[in-house]
Amino acid sequence: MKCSGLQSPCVAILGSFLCVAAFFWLTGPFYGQLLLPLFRWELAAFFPDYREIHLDLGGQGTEIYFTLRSVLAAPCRVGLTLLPSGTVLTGSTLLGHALQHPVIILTMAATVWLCHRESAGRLVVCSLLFLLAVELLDVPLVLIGSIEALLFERFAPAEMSRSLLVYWMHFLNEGGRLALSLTGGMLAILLGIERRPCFDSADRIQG
Amino acid sequence: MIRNSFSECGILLPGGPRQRYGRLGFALLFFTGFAALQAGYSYFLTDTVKVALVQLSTLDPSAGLINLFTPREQVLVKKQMLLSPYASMSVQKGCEGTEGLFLLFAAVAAFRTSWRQKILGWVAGLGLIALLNISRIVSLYYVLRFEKKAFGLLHGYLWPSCIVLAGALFFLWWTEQQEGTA
Repeated sequence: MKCSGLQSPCVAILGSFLCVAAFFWLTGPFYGQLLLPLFRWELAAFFPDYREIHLDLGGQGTEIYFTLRSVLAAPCRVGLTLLPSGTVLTGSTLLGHALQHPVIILTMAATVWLCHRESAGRLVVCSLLFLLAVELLDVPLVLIGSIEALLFERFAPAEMSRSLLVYWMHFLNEGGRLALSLTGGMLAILLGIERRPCFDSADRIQG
Repeated sequence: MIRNSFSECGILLPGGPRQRYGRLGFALLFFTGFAALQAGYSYFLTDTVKVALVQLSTLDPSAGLINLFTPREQVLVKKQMLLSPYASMSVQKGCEGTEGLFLLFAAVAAFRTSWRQKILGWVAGLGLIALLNISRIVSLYYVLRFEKKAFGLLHGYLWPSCIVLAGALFFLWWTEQQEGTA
């Protein structure tokens, strides 16, 4: 069954977007809370130099942020300055950024699902896996990137361009986040339904 | 006639077997194309040029529109800010809408069609994203003025997603035209 009940894929996209966006608008802080244990695990596993003492969601004025408070586990040299272990460092990023990924990836998946209801299970699993991967590539790395950006700006501005995490943070903040979501969504669809005969059949159905 | 890029299974993922590099190729070309555009923009344009772009493409038209529809707001543009007696909003470099523009440019570039069609897609996409971005800034100003609580989610979450949605719909419409003319 193809797009049953829907005359146009545009309606499917708009409908999916409105439902998913409204859902995450209402449940955004809860979704953010769900991600926190994963982010804590990633920070502990991949960034042992920064010992996390506090990672949580908090409001500042009109925005809700992920805020990371960490301490240096060992002395760290930034430019000519040696920062002692125990130095407290803080970084933050918007919750809204983390919400862009599910909105885009799940809208894409829901739209395709409306046209391929028979492949829902595999599509859902692939979409959730890519969503998770994209989230792990975003918030924790941006938090550490923002801390490194502050350190470099303060102690060694000339070395700022050497930090991959700072570069990744700027890349994501300047549109890379959306590109990452869209690419993740496309890959999820590819793996989710690419091998089903109906997916390729469209190329053969011509006038 | 059912066309692969838009109406049927190829939805949201053009580049079927008829296109030599296929769907995975489209996804990878799209991402690398976007990264290249963004890196070029960051590397080759100075901050002065970027600030001037924000001023010309975003701040001035937005202030003009707000004053046109609500003259009592008396919005002024000063030091990359929209200032009025009631609210002030900072519009920094990065707010000029290049994100959405580069996403659309990369998608059009990754789609296999003639250069003429690509240029038409880029020009139309530029107009669309510019209009959307001005609407975004104007709406954010009014939200900051009248409903501050909603500003965070609208700024960080809803508007970026809406621009992607509009860009995706435009891209699907554009690919439909390519299939129609093929």
